[in-house]
Amino acid sequence: MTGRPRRDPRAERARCLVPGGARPRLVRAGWDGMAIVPDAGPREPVMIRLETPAFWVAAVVEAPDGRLDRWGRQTLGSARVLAGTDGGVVALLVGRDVAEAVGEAGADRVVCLETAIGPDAMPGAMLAALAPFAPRHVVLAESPAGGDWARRLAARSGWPIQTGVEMLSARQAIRPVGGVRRERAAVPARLLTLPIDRVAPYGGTRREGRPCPAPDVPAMAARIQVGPVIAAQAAGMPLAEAPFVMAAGHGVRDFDSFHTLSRLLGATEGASRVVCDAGLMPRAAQVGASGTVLDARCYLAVGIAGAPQHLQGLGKVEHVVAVNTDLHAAIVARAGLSIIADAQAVMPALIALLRGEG
Amino acid sequence: MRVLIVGEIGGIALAAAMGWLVLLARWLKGRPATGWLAGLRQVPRRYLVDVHHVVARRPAAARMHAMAAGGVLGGAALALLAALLGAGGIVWALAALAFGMGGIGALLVWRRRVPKAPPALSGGAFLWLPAALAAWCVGNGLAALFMAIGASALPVIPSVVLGGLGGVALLRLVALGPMRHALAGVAWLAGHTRPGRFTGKGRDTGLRPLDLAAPRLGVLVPADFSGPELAAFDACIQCGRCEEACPAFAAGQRLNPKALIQTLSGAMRAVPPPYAGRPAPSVPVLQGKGGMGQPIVGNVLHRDTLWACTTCRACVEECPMLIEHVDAVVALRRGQTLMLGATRDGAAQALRASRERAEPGGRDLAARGDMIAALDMPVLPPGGESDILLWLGEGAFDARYGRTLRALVTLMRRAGLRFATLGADEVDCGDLARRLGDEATFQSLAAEAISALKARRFTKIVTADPHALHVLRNEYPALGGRWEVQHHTGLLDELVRDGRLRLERRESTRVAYHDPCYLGRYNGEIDAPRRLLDAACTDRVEMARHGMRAMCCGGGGGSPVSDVDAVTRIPDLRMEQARAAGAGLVAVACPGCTAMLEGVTGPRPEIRDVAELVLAAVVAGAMV
Amino acid sequence: MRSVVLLSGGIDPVSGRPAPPSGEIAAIGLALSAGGAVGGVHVGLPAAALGQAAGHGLGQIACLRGVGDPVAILAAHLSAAPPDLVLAGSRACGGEDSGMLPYLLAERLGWPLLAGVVAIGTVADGWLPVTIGLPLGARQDARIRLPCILCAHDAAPAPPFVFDRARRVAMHAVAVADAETIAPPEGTERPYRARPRLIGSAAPAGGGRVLDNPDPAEAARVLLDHLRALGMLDA
Repeated sequence: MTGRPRRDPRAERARCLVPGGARPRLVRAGWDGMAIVPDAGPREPVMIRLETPAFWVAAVVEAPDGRLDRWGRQTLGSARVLAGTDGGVVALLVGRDVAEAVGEAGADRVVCLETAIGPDAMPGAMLAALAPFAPRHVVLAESPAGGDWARRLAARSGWPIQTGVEMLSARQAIRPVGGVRRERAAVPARLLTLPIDRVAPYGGTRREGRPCPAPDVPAMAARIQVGPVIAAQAAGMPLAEAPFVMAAGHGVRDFDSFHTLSRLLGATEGASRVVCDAGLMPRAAQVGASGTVLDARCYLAVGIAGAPQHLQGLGKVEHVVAVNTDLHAAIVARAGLSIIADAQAVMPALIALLRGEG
Repeated sequence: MRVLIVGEIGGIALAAAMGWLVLLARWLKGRPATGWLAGLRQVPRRYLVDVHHVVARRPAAARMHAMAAGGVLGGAALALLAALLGAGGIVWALAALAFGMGGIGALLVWRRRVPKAPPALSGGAFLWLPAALAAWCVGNGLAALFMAIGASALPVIPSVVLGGLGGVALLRLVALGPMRHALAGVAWLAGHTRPGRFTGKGRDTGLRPLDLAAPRLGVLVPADFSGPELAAFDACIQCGRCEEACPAFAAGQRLNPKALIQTLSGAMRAVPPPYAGRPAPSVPVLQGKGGMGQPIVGNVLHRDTLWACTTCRACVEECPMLIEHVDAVVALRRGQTLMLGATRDGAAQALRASRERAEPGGRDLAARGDMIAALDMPVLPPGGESDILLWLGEGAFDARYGRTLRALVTLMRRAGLRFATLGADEVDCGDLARRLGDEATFQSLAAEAISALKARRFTKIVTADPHALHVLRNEYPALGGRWEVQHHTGLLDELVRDGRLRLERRESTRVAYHDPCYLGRYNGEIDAPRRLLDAACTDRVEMARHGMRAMCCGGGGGSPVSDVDAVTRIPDLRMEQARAAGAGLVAVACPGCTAMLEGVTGPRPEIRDVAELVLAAVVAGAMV
Repeated sequence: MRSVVLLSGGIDPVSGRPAPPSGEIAAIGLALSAGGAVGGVHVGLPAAALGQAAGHGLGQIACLRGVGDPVAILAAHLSAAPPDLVLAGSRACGGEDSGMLPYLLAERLGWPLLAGVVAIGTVADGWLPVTIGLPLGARQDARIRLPCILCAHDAAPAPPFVFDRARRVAMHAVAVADAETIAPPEGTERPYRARPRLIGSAAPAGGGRVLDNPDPAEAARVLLDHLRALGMLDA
C-alpha cells in the first residue's frame, strides 16, 4: 500500500539527529531532501582524535574504485550512532584506500582489505582484521556484497545478526520480519546490515581515520574462484535494472538525435507503447504496465504524454524529467522538471552542449 | 429414364451421406459429447431460424444462399421423389423450377467474386463452385423439364450426364473441399456446444467450468476438442464476416478468426485442404504436420494468434454457422497455460499476481477503496446486511476510474440507496485469469469471492465493470454463486425511470456511446446506457459499429497484458471510428474501455463514463 | 548431477497469502538448467506455497518433520545422501527472513557457497562455473567446487508456472531426528510500519519546475544542470 506516509515526530527527530558531538544536534533542513548536512561555511579546523575509546564499533565499507559512496557514508554514520560519544569507529575498507574521506565520514581508524580476497576467505580475513578491536558491533551495508559478507561473518563467528535494519539507535534496531508485514524491535545485535537511505551519514566534526595495518589473510584451499566484474553498458542493460532511462514517445520524430543523446548521457533507452507499436523501437524497450516496470533513479521522458498505463511503469522511479509540448500532459504532473518544448529542438541543443563540454 | 435419374441423383446423395459418415468418424475421435446425434432433430429449426437470422443480415448473400442451396437440394429431392414414385409431370415441373432457381443461385455465386472478389472471401476451390452448381442445376433441371413434358430419352441422357458431372464436382467440393460446411454444419448444429443460443430467451456466453482433476486440461491436440467442436471447424464456409469484424485482425495482430478456424479444421488432417483466404497478418507459414494427436499451437498455429484475441465475440456474433471462436481460443489457451505454462510474459506476471495476491495488478486488496476513500463508503462485514453490494472491480485501483466510481456512488447516494462494498474482502473476480486460460486460478478466486459474498446479505450486486458483471452473473452460477447482478448503467436507468433521479439534458458536444463487449455482446445490454445518454445529453450519435456489433477497445481477454505485436493499436482504430462519427466525447461504461481509450495519444474526443455524464445532468434526487 | 532446492514455504509480502519467494523460483530454474534429478526439501509440514513452487518445475518435495534447529535438520538430511548441488533463494519470506539459513548450512556442512547466482554452466573437473548478477546489470563469472550451495539472484530467469505440475507434485513427509532447539529471536514483534527513506539528493521531487517554451539552448542547460544535480552524469 502506498498511502501518504504518516509523520512520526519522534522518528523524525531521530532521523534529523546528527550523530557525533556531545549534545544532540538536529538538522531540520529539508525533511524531504533528507538530512543533508548544511554546508556550514568554513570547515571547523579541529579533528577529533580518539586514543583509547571505551569500545569499538566496526563498519565494513565497500570502495572498489577508491570512492566512498552514499551507502558507505551511511554505514559509517550508523556505526557512529552505535558508538555514541564513548566508542570509536573502525572502518574496514574493502577496496582502495580512501582514508581521508573515511575520517570525514566518521571513522577513527581504517583497516584496508583487498577486494581480491574473495568471498570464501573474506570472513576469516575480516575476523583477523577485527580481532585487535574486539568490536561491540559490526555494521555492513545490505548490498549484494555487504549482505553476503555479513552472513558469512555471522555463520563463521556465530555472532547474532540483524539484517536489513531500517531504524537504528544506540539502544534499538528495528527490522522487518514476516514478509515485511511485521517488524521486530530489539537491542542492536553484534552484527547489523543496513539498507540504503535508512540512516543519515555522519555530519559531525571530522575524525582522524588513522590507518591501521591490514592483517595477514589466512591461506585456505581455493573452493571458489571469482573472475572480474563485467559492467553492463547502458545500451545493453536490462531496462528493469537500469538506473537511468531515457524514453521516447509519440513526440519524438528525430530518432538519430534520440539515440545520440542517450549514448552521450549514458542512459538506457526506453519507449512508450505507441513507439514500439510503430516499430520505431524494439518491444523490449517498452515502459509501462504491459511493458517493463522501471526501478530507475531517473527517468527522462521525451515526447511522452504519460498515458495511465505508461505511468504505471514508473512505479519506483525517484526522479522524472519530461520534455513535452503539452503543458497539461500527465507526465508533467509527475515530473520534477518539465521542459515544455519540442523534443526535436531540445535534443540537438543538449547534444551540442554535451559535446561542447566534452 | 427414371432409373437413370434415381441412379444419378441418388448416387450422388448416397456418396454425400458416405462422405458425412467419414467426417463423422473423424469428429468422433474428439472428446465425447452427450446427446449429439439426438440433437439432429433440432437441426431444421436451428438452420432455418437461427442460421438464417445471421445470414439475412446481408440480403444479397442470403438470396444467393437460399437460391443456390434451396435449388440444389430442393430440386434433387423433388426429382428423386418424382423418379421414385413415378409421379406425374407436375412434380417434375416443380423439380425443374427448383433446379432453375438453383441455376440462378449459381449465377449469383459467380457474381459474388466476379468481376472483383471482396478481400474477406476465399478463392481457390471456391472458383469452381459456380460451374459445379450450374452443371448440376442446369443438367438435372433440363432432365426434369424433359421428363415433365414427356420427352424421349434422347435429350434426357446428356442432361443427366451433365447433371452427374456437376454432381461429382459438387461432391468433391463437399467431401474434400470448402463445401464440407454443408455436411459439417448439420453435425455442428445438432451438437452445438451452446444450446442456450437457440432458446430465444437469454444469451449463452459464459465459459464452462473445467474439471481440474481431468488428466488433460484444455486443448493441446485436435482430439482434445469435443466432437461437435471439431465439426464446427469443418462447418466454416470461409465467408470472412468474422475477419471483417475482428479488432485484432484490423490492428495487424497475428490473428484472423477465419484463418484460425480453417487452421483448426486443417489440424485434424495430415494433408489439409488448401486454404485460399487471407492469412493472419504477418504470420510466418508453419510447416507442422496435422493429425488428431498432433500438437496445434506452435505446430500448425502460431503462438501469437492465441494471445491476440480480445475475446470480444465480434466474430461469434457475425458467424452465420454459429461457430464459437472464443471458446476454441480459450480451450487452446487453457491447454497452453495449465498444461505447459506457455503464456506471454506479461500474462504470466498477471497470473502470478492473481494467484498470490488475488489481484492481477499485484496491488494490496486493502488499497482498492483508496480512490473513493473520501466518500467514506460503508464496508459490509461478514454477516452484515445491505440492499446493494457494490462490486468495485479492478478499475477501482486506477485514479481515472476512481472518478467514475465517485460519480456512481454520489448518484446512488442522491437516490437514497443503501449500499456497501466488500472492502478488502473483495478479491479479483477472476475474469482475466479465466480468459487467459488459467482456469485453476479462476476457480480458486471464484470460490473465495463466492464465499465472501455468501457471508453477507444483500438483494443485488451492482458493478461498474462489465467483465465482473459477466463473471458474477453468468459464470459464478455454475460454481454455486447465484445473485442478481446489475450493471451501473442498468441501475441508473432504473433510478431515472422511477423518478428517483431527475436529469436535465446538458448542452454537450456530440456524444458517441462505445459499447463494452462484455455488456453488449456478452449480456445483450445496449439500451439502458443509450436511454441515460439521451436523457443527459442533447446530441448523441452512433458510431458505424455499435450495439451488438460494436468494435472492441482492445482491453479484453488479457490482450493488454499479453502484448502481442501489432501494426496499430485497437483503441486508436476505435477512436478513429468515433471521430468519423463526429463525436467530441466518447461515453464509456467499463474501466477497461476507459483505460484503453484514454491511452490514445494526441488530440482526441474526451472520454467520460456514463455515470459521470449522468451526474453532470442530474437536477434532483431523493436526498436533494 | 543431483540438485536439491531448499523451499521455505512462505507468504507474499503484499497479500500475506501463501507464495514461494521469487528467489526460490529462480533457484528451481537454476536447478533445472543444471540437468539431472531435481527435488525440493522443506523443513516442516507440507504447505500451500510448496505446491506453487513445485508448479515451477519440481516433481517431488521432501517435507522433513523434525523439531528444532532447521539448519541441523537439513544438514543431517543432506549429509545422509549428499547431493551435488543445493540451491536456495536469497531469503525466505514470512518468517525471520534474514537469509542466514544457506550460510549456516554451508558452514555446518563445510561446503562453499556463492550468492546472487543468475546462471550456471556445466561441471568440469569438479568445478561448476556460475554467473553472478550484480547491481546495474553487471555480471561476474566464478567457479565453485562441488558439492556446494548456491543462492539464486531474485532476478535469475524464473521457469514458468505450470498448474499441471503443481497438482501432480509428490510431497512426502520424512521423519527425521529432532535437533537442538534454538532460542527465539529477541525483541518485540509488532505490525510493520513503513518509514520513509532518506532521499539522497537535493533535487526537487515531484510536481517540480516547469519551463514553458524556453529557448532550446536554455532548456538544454537547465536539463543538464538538473541531471547533474541528480548525480546521473557522474560516470
